[in-house]
Amino acid sequence: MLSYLNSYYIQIGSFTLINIMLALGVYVPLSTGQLSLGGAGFMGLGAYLSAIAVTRFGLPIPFAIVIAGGVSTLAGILVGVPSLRLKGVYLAIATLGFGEVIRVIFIKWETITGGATGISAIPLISAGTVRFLTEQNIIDSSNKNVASDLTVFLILFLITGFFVWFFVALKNTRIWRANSAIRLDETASESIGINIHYYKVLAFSQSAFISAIAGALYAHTVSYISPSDFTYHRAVEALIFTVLGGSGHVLGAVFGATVLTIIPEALRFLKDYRYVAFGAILVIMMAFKPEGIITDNIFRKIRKK
Amino acid sequence: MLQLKLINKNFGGVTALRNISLNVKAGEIVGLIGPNGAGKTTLFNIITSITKPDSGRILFNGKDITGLRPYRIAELGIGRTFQNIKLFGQMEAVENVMTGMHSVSRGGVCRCAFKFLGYRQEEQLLREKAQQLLSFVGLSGKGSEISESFSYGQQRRLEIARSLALNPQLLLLDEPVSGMNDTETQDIMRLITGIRESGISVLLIEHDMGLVMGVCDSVIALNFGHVIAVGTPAEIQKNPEVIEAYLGKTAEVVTNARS
Amino acid sequence: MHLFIEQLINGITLGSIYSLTALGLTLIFGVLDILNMAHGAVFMFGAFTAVLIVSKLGLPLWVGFLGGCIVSGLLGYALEMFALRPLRRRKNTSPLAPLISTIGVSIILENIARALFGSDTISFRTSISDINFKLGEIDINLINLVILAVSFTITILLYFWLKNSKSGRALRAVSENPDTAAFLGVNTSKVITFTVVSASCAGGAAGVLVAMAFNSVNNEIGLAMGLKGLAIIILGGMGSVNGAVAGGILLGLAETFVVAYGDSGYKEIIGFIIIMAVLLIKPQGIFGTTQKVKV
Repeated sequence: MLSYLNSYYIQIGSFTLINIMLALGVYVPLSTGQLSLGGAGFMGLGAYLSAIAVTRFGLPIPFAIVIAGGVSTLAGILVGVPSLRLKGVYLAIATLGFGEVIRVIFIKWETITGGATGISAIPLISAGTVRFLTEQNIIDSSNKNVASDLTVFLILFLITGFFVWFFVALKNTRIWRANSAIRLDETASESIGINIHYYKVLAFSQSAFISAIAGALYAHTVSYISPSDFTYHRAVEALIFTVLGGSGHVLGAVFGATVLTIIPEALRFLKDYRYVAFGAILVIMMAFKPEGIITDNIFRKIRKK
Repeated sequence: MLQLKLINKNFGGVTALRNISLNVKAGEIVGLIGPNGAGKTTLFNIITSITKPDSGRILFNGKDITGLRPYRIAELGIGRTFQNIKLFGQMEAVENVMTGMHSVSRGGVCRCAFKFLGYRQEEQLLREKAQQLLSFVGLSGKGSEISESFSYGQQRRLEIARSLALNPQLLLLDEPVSGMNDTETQDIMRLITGIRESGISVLLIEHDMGLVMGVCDSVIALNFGHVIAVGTPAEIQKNPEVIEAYLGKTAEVVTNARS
Repeated sequence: MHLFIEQLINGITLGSIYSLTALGLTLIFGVLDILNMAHGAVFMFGAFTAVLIVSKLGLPLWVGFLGGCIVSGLLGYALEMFALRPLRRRKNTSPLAPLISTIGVSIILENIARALFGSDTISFRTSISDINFKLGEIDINLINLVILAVSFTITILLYFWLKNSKSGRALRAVSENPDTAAFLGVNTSKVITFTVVSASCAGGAAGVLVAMAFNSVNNEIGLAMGLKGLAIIILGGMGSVNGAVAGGILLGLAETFVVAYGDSGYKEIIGFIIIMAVLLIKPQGIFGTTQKVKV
């Protein structure tokens, strides 16, 4: 049965899931009105931390991923607290700067990070499962790769699914109202008793956590990472997903990441111009529909029907 | 209940407030009047800590609240509205009020997501309370409308409902009837009296003298950042300094003409 | 000592180009309150155009320079028409909308450049590339002097134009308060278009100068310079012309000395370290007065 599944499709699915997590990493701070372009930095931090923990210190992969997430969350708080003073474009640029500094550290700290060539032969998250299935003679060498890809996809699916569920569940709750209030009017929010500093840093550290988990999972999905995986472009890509999909709604990020990961693969002849199209999408969206495709209004209309 | 002691505030060399001291007692409705630029809104911003005073103390129920973060002031029980209405325009009316209940409800990220410890019941309770507040201000049945679509008067009422949501002991209203017609003004007057009856003190900025005279127990008049008069509405109405502040040099002519 | 002076000259030369780049950014920010994230890409097109004109068509350097400026100016015009103007027509857009829109333009331009010019570094040798002379102990490249002269001339021209000409005053009026300026009869739309186009021209000119300084262009240069430009205007204070000039020179010197006496690998992040340090310590920049934030 496994042989009917095409590895290529499964991989696209896995990348879609990673991109959804990255898009969520943009959505969460944006839901409090903060634009962070630091996603690539936190993603890289997560990827390197986890890869180093596994390849150098021999930690089990799940442990390594949790550690990567935890440390990056702390880093998120460290970046988030001083960034409270910054608004709008200033915050965007400071976080962009953070991402680039992190990347240069990856390049320069060669003894630990492998410099510009990065880290290779990172064990896959599917390694344990595949070993188990082989020992039980459930799979053999002919379908080992597909089984591995499928396992990776399923693990990613569970984790991403949890994140998406989590933020959907937060909708229309006390936390969601506080975040929206801060996005809509900071002064009014404070005057009704919302600690805006707390919620901004909270959103920032959540974003750092998700991005880092996405990065760690990415490292254990492709098994090879280098500083060029975590450039400014990666951060901007995540921004595009969220903006196109709809920055006011969790499912907007999911929709944007899914569509923009799958369409370019489907239209391979467009591949060279894929980014030109992405850029055009951003410009057009900002001019005509800055709130994105998925909005609260859509859900309101559906409910009324 | 609220005491201001010798508040001073300068903006880039211009004196906005000078040695302001005032008292609001529990259960009182106090009016704050004065010409445009007298420093009324600045005073509100200083009480709610949006602006920090250069010197002076603010006491609330005997506790020094000077320099606390604005959200702490709200938590302690001071609600406010804004002269230029600051609603969360894209939220539904009931959501606006429920957002106002932030400090009187509990629930961190995990509780909100996983809905444990009776989260749903509490949320239901908040929603009911918010609907009650909406009907209290005269917006019953409008809870699920987007607040941006409201008329000007409705937006003012909604903002009052939102500020009541945090269970305040003191409510600061910044020009609650500006831009309203007579009937609407009457309604708001009744609303303010109703608020006081529910045990909340009110400090309000208003230009509409009819409203001030009608509801206030005492009135404080400001001009150029000074307190120029304190007294009952009747006393203030006769105070020559207040009349001059409002009407300038023609004041005497006008009072003569009236009598 | 003479090594130090040589580095000083190199640093100021590089810095003068940075100043010119940052001037374009700061002008647009001053007038429109927009961070033009596409400035680097416009800069890169200027550089590529000049290189093609000189190396492929064999025309003289000054034609290449003019060509670079013109192409960048046209791109600036397109940026204004397609990415900025439509946003101004909408009421209450988020202040982040123009930022995102110009990021979109930068992505478009970068990838068109990749398709048109390829991803390889193209070398750019001009007739004056290899002329050196000695002044006492000090080695001087003629090209450095030319760059220095050109960039300072353009900067000074821009400066005086802003200070003294009628259109310069209109521009400053719009940057001060667009509504009042419009009320006083300033055609704000025209001023804005003009600002974006001339800022882009300046960016294109800086692009050509960078290509001359490094004897090459490649695809990465746009992004790198765009980000450095951001660092400079944040250092100098957003919208401040003096700040852009001073900040540019400072960054040029800092980079040159880090390469000369430290580790060249850190050259590219000096800008970012400056960004973060300035934003966290004095968000209004060293020459700025207030943090201009419209919420």
